[in-house]
Amino acid sequence: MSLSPKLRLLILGGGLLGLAVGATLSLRLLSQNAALSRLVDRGFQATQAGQYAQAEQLWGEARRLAPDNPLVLRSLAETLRLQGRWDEAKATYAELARRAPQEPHVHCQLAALTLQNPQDPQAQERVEQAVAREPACVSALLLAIRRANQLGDQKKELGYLAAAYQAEKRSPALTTYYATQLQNSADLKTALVVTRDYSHRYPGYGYANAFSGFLASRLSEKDAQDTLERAVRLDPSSGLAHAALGFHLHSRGKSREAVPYLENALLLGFDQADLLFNLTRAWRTVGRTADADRLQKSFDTLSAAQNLTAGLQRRHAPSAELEPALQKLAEARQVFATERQRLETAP
Amino acid sequence: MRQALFLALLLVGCTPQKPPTVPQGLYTNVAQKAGLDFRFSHGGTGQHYLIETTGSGCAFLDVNADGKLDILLLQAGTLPVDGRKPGTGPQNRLYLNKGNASFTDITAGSGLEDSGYTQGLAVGDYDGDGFEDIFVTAYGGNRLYHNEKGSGKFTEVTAKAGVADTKSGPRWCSSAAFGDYDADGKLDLYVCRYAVWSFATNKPCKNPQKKLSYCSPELYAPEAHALFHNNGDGTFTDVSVATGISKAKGHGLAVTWLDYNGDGHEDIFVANDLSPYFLWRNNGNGTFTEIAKEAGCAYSDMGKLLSGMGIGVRDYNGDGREDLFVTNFSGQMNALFRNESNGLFINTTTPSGVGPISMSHLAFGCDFLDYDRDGNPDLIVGNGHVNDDVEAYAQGDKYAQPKSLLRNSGNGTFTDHTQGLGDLTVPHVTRGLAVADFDDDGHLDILTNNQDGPPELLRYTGPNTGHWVAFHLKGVKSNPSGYHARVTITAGGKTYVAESRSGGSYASRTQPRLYFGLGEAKTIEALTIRWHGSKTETKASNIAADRLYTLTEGEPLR
Repeated sequence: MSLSPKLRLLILGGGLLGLAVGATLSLRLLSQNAALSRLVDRGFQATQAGQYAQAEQLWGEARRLAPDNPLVLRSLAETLRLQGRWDEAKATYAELARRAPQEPHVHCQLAALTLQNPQDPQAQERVEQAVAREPACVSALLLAIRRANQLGDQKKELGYLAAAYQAEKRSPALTTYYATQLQNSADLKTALVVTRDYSHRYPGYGYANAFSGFLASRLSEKDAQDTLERAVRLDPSSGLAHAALGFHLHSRGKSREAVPYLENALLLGFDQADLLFNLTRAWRTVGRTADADRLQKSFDTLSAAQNLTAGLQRRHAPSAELEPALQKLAEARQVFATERQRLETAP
Repeated sequence: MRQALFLALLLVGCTPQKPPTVPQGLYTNVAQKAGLDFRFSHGGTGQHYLIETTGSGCAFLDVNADGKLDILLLQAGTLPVDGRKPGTGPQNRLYLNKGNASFTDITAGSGLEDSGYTQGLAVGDYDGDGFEDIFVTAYGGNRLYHNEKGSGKFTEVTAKAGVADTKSGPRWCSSAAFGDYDADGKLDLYVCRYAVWSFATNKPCKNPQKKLSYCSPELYAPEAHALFHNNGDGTFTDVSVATGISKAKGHGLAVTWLDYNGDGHEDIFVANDLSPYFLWRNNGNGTFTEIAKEAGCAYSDMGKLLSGMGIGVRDYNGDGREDLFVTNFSGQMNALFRNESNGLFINTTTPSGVGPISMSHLAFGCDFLDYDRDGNPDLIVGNGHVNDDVEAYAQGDKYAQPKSLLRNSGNGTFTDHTQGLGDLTVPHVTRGLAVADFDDDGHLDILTNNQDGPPELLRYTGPNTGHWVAFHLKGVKSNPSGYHARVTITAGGKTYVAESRSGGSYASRTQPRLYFGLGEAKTIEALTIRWHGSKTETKASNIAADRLYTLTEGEPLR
C-alpha cells in the first residue's frame, strides 16, 4: 500500500521534530573529572558553532575517558547525526541504549534515526521498544502509524495517532492527518473535536475552520453553516471552504445558494469527485438539466475510474492491470479542467 | 542551560468512553417463550467462503389464511462444498401462530424443510388462489413453493414455474420481491443476484493480522438481475432481457417495488453492495430504464459507492410521496432519500440525522415502523458486521451489534432512541428483519434472523400511547396480495399515504399489512384505496381507529 503524500510529509516532519527532542542530562558524573568536564564543555561549544568535525573529535576523546557516560555517548551520536552519518549515529545510540537503557528519549531518538531507513529490518522492533518505553515519543509513534497504515490495522494506527496527537497538538500536519483518519474510520465525532480544537487554537486559519465546518455539517451540528461561512471569509481562496459550504447548503435543500460556492470551489481547483457529484445534483435541482446531464456522465466516468483504481490498489494488482486503470483515471480527471474552462468563459 | 535546548514536554492522553445504556423495556424478546426454537447456522467450515457472511431472511405470513401471522425462518445450514449435501443439517422452520402469542412448529411435512443454502424470500399469492405462496432464493437454485390451500403443506413447483435460475449454473441470488409491473393483476418476480461467485472461485483474503478472513465483494464481478413475468398459468417467463433489466449489473442485496413518480406504474429500487443502487423506472410499456443516477439515489450524498444491504420505504415526512431508506456498511452512513415531486430524490442522510448515527454500525434488515404510534414513521435497523474478526483490527467495530431505533421527530429529522430499549440493545449479528403486529395488540413487533444464533421475536412492551389502524388488502382485479394498492387516510386532520408491497428490508417479508400510527386521532375521517392496475377505488369515511380492517377490492369495508 503506498503512503499518501500527506503521511510521508507528516513522518518526515515528525522525524525532524523527534531529533530536536532531547533528554534531561546530568552533569553530576562530569564534575568528578575535570578533564572530562573540559572536553564536554568544548564539545558543546564546537557543536553549537557548527564545527562538527572538531566536536566529533572532542566527543571521541571524552568517550575514551568515560565510555559509559550517557551524556558523552548521546552528544557523539548527535554530532554524527548532524553530519548525516546516520548509520554511525544509530550505532552510537544503540550503544547508549545498551549501556544506559533508562536514559530518557534514547529509544525515541533511535527510532527517529531509523526513519532514515524504514526498510531497516530492526525498524519495527525499535519502534515498538520506543513506544513501549516512551509513549509520547512522536518519532516512534509516527513510524508505528506508518507501519499500522501499511498493514491496514486501523485500530492500532488510530491508537498511535491519538498518542502522537496528544504529544504534539501544535502540529498542523499531525492534527490534519489524525482528523482525516478519524473521519475515514467513521469516528466523525472525535474528528470534529480534534478539528474544533485546531480551529480554536488557530482561529484565523481558514483550513481549520473549513475542515471543522465540513465535519460539523456531516454531523448535523448547529454551528456548521456559521463555521463554513467563517472559513470562506478567512480564506476566500480555499476550495475546501467553498466546496464544504456548497455541500452543506445543497444537502439542506438550498441548492440555488449552493451553486455559486460549488462553482467557486471548482474554479479554485478543488478537484474532487464529491464536488462534481454535488454540483451535478445542485444543477439538476435548480433546473440546469443540460449541464447536469453533461456533468453526470463525466462524474460517472470519473467515479468508475476511481473505484476501479482504488480496488486494484487495495489488492496490490500488478502494474499491467493498474497502469491502464491509472491512465483512464487521469483521462477522466480532465473533466475538472474542461469544466473550469467552461465556467471561466461562461457569460 | 544549553541542555535545556534538548528538553521537550510530551503529553499522552486518552479517549473518553461512553457509559453503556441500561436495557429497559420498550421491546422484549419473547422468541423462546413463544416457541421459536430455531438457531441459524451459516455452516462455515473455517474456509471463510464469502456466502457465509450474508445470512438469511425471515417472514411474517399467513399460511392458513386465518388472520393470524405465522413465521418462517430461513436456514442456510450445510455449505454445499467438499462433498457436503444440502439438507443434511439444520433446516428452515415454519411456525403456526396459535393466537396466544405462541407458535407451533409445523415444519415437518410442510415441504419447506430444506430449501438449500438459503438467502432470501418473497411472499405473494402468485396464482390467485387466496393463499400466500413462498419464493426462496438459495445458492445453486431458487425454489417456488405453492401453498396447498392453507393446509400447512407446500408443494415445490420451481421446475414448472421456471424460476430456479440455474440455466447458467449455480448462482448467488439474495433478495426477491413480487410485484405487478404490467398491471395485469398477476404477481411478477424480481430476483437480485449478488455476484459471479462459486465455491471454486472463492478467493482467500487475510485480515491485518494475516489471518484468513472474508474478502470484499468487489473481488467478484457484479451480476445482472432477473425479472420473471407471471404468465397466469403457474409458469413464469424470464423477461430480464426484454424489459431491459439485464442491462445493468450490480451486487444486489435488497429490492422493493414502489411507484416513486406516481405515474401508476410500479418501479423497482435495488440496494446494491459497492455498485450504484438501481432505480428501474417502469416505462409503462413493458420496459424499464435504470435512472438512479439521474434521480439522485444511486450514491451517497458525497457521490461515493455505498454497500446497500436493506431497504425501507415509507412517506416519512408526510408529503404524500414514499421515500427510501437504505442500510449500508459500517463507516458509511445509512442513506435517506426524500422523494420530491419532480421525479428526483434529495439525499437527506445528514440533515435528517439518520446518517451520522449509523456510521459505527453495519446494517442489514430494516423497516419503517411507528412504534410509538405518533403518526410519524420511525426506523428499526438490524445490525451486525460481516467479519467475525473485525474487533481485532477495526476501531470501534463490533461483530455483534445492538439494533438501532431511530425516532422520527416529525420535522424531517430522526434521533437515535437509546434509552429504555429493552432487548433491542442485546447485540446480535442480524441479517433478516421483518415487522408486523403478530399478537394483534395494535403495536408493531419485530422478527429477526441472526447469524449463528437464535432468532428474536421482539414484542412491543413499551407505553401504550397513540392510536392506530391497519389494513389487510385483498385484490380481485388487482393482484390478489393487494400489492401496490395505494392507501390514503386522513385522521386528526393529517393525511397519510402508503402502499402495500412485497420486498424491502433484507431478504425478508416485512409488513404484510399496512399499518398507520395515528397519534391522538380516534377516527379516520377519510379513507381512499386506489387498487393497482384495476382503477378500482375503495372509499370510506369516519371509521374507527384501533383495529385491523380487511379490505377486499370492490367490497365495502369489513
